[in-house]
This record gives sequence, C-alpha cells and structure tokens, in this order.
Amino acid sequence: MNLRPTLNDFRLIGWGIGRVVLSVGLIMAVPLATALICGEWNVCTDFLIGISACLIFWLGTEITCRVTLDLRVSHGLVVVSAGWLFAMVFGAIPHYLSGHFSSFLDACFDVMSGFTTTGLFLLQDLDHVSNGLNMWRHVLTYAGGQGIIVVALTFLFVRTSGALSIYLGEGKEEKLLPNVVNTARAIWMISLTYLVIGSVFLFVALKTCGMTPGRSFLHSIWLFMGSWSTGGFAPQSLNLLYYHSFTIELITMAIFVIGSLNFALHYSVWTGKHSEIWKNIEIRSFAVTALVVTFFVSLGFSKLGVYTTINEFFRKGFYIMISGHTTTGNATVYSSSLVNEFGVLALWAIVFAMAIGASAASTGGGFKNLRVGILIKSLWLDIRKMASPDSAVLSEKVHHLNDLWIDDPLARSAALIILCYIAIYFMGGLLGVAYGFSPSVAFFDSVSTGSNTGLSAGLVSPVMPVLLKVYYTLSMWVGRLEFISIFALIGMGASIVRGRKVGGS
Amino acid sequence: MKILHVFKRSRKKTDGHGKSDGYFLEARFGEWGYYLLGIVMEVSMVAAFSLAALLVMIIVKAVVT
Repeated sequence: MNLRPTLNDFRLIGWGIGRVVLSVGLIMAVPLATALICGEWNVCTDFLIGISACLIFWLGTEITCRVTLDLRVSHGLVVVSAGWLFAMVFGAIPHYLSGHFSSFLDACFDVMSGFTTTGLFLLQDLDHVSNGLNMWRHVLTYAGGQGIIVVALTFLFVRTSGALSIYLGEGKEEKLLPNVVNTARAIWMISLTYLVIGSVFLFVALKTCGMTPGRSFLHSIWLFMGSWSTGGFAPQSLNLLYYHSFTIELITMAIFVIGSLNFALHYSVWTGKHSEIWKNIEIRSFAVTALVVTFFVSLGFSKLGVYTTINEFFRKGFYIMISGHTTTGNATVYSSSLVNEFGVLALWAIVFAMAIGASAASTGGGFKNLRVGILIKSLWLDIRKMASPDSAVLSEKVHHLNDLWIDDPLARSAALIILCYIAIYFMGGLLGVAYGFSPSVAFFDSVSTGSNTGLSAGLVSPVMPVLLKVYYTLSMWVGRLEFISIFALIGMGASIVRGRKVGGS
Repeated sequence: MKILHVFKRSRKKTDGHGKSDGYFLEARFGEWGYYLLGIVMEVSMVAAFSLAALLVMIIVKAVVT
C-alpha cells in the first residue's frame, strides 16, 4: 500500500516548485530588457509585476518549505509536473496584463503552448504586439525547448541531490555528461551556439529582404527561437508566409530539423562521434517515416493537381510536412489551405507525421523516433521468431549512441508511451467532433496539440469552446512531459486520499 | 566559460589527448573547429534528406501524371 505524503514531502515539493517559478521570473528579465530598450513603458510594468509575483512566490516557498530532506524520484517527478503548471500561471501574468487576451485562460493556453514548444496561440492582434511581449513569447518557447527544468537546473539546483530525478521527469531520458547539472549546461551550450549562427544567417536574409536593421535583428532572433525550439511561434500572424522568402524558409527549415535532434546526438557528433549521425536509429527512423509521408503528400497533391511544381511542392508541401514531423508548426500556407487545398490524403499523412514527432530528449514532441524505431525492430524480431524453429535464439538491436538490445521491457515501455499519446490524440479528436467540427479538422488539431506541433486546420481560435481550451492546454502539458511525471502527480493525489498514514496501522 | 570547459574536458576524454585527428576544421580552428565540423555534418544531413524528399516527389509526380 502507498504511504500518505507527510508535511515534509509537501514542503520539499513546494521548495522545488518555488525554484522552478523563480527560473520563470529570471527569464522574464530578457523581455523586460527588450521593453526598456524599445521604450515600451507599459510593457515594462507588466513584466515588473510578473517578476515580482515570481519572487514573492519563491520567497514564500523558501521561508515556509525549506527542509533538510533530499529530493527522491517521486518528489522530483511531482516537482516537474506541478512546476510546469505553476510556471504557466506565473508566466501568463505579463500576457494577460498586455490586453491581448480575452481571458486569463487564453493567456495560460498561450504560455503552455510556448513552454511546451507547441506554437498555437489565442493571442489577438499579433501583428500589433509590443516588442517586449513578442520577445517573451519567443523566450518562453526557447526556454521551454531546452526544458524549464533544464533552465532551473542550470542556475538554481546546483549541488542539490535529487537533481537527476527532476531532469528525468521532464521527458529527457539521456544524460549528456555524468553530472546532470553539467548536462543542463551542455544543452545550453549547444542551443546558444546555434542561436548565434542561426540568427546571423536569418539577419542577413531579412536584411536582404529590405527590413530595417533593428527589425531584422529582432525578427532573426525570434524566428530562430521559434524554429530551434520546434515551437513554431513567429512575430507575425501569417507566420513564415509573411516573409515570402525562399531563403528564410530554407534557413528556418534547417534550424528546426537540427533543433528536433536529440541533444545527446548533438553532443556525440560535436565531440567526435561523427558517424553517429548516419547510424543513429532516430535519424534512420525519421528518414524512413518522413520519406513515406512525402510519398503520400506528393501522391495527394498529384491526384488533386495542386502544388505540382518543384518550387511549390518544396515551399508548401514539403515544408509543412517536415514542420509537422519535427513538431515545429512553422507554416507557409493558411490554415484554411490545409483543409481546402491539401486534400484528405496529404492532410492525414501530415497528421501521421505530427503524431510520430521528433527525437527523444530534444525540443520536439510526439511519440518520438526512438520509440517508433524500437517498436518496428521489436515487431520485426517477433516476425522472425514466428518464422524460425523454437530452438532458434534470435536478437535485434538498435543503435542509439550505444547498441541497445531489444527485449520485452524496452518494447513494452515504448509501446505504453505510444498508446498514451494515441489516447490523448483520440480523446481530443472526439471532443472536437462532439463540438461539431469535421473529423479531419478535429483530429488534425488534437494531434497537433498533443504532439506539441502547432499547425492548425482552423479549430484553435480565441472563440473555441472553453472545454476545448482546457483540454488542449492539458494535452500540451501531458504530451510534453511524456506522461510519467503526470502519472506520479496523479499517484500522489491518490496517496493523499487512500494512502496509509506514516507510522499508522 | 564553465560550459565551454565542460565541453573541452569531454572532448579530451574522447580522443585521449585532445589532438587533431586530421579534420581540417579542427586542425585550423581548434576545439571550436571540432564543434563546427559537427554543425556542418548536421546541416549536410538536412540537405541530403531534403534532396531525397525532392526525388521522391519527382518520381511520384512522373508516375501519377
């Protein structure tokens, strides 16, 4: 029987959540500085209020929740799952104060969308948003891409035992280095290096398009952050369509495909294991599924006679497909075009790509290529076993940094997580259908939120039903954290109600 | 630059002495050249993959129409 959590357990979890909220307050300094430089004084006030709220909450937890216990795995998982919810609420303060949202729920939806690198938004009049708020939207998604916990680990959990448990709770199963804090720093090292390189390329491209240097600078950083984190946020409501530039589409595509790779793979390639990029099961799995989806998208387009030139196919079909598969959500077509022009075959092929998603321990969402690779190999092993004599000893392995031998526990854990994803996709789709949306639109947007993609067929808007807003917000949260830490939170709730009291009978 | 230190230490563990293994970029730019080589390889992967997708599209279009 489970033990009921003690007061010290709650205090320890509260202390951890306080640190997570403090990290949200710290990253608010970036949009605050942007607003100050741009002379947006009202926006400065919004962020000062947001930072003050985070600091007050953190101070409150430091005073009331400080205990000498070490974080155990169960504590860490609850800190992560509950910490993300608290981060959403505190992160939504500047959003709501901006006046661009019709309710606090809408602001929470956008912040969860940012943190989970989804990219859907309910913000109104995006084209006239202040630079400070736009910076906050993109910093949210950039920080969320590395993981809020990674941000907190980098600065706020140094020399804290149990740091590993909260790192693992955020859906990252691999450590780049033996020390988890150094792992968090290495993740930042990779992201910041790409931030510099990607922003320079985008700045040159935007400047060439005729933008002023100041705007080019801000847009280059924002586009990079939106692409690298596979978030899909962009500073304009038309997303990538606004720029009408093949060069910018090409650069952003390279950024989000690279951004969707496993951080452990980046680290491996950067530190000498060059062949890993061709041997890794995630790359191979991604290549196979993406080419299969490309085949169906091309078939759909050819049958309908749309986007048939190489230029059109690459900029519309392939870009959207790869944006969906990497769970980015950058778009070069209108939402209505997805339904009215793509046709059923191409639309559902993209739904399939979004459902699979990107690499494990990356900025992306979805089932993850690693799990798909493991499941396919496992299936292949079962087929071989069926076709072989009983006495035959057969084995299969996948290469992911090291050779992993396929066994039942590995295949079962991959299948279990995939089933959980299918469940949230399916429930969201049914909910959309129940509200009167067509199955294609309802399932497209449900898979898009659950896999943290951000493409929309038109369902997600400020006027959608409240229940759908709540469901999609939860779906983004659950999908990003990959279920385990959510199960831990539910388990803790059950222990409070039904657990045995410590020391009791 | 504690983060950089973490990377350098790890890199030295990889090849024993942190010496060049013959790659031009690493020999020319040191540790950062090594990272740059990693970035070049990742970009090459994206390029190869995009070309493969274009090839698929061209074949499908040719067959269907």
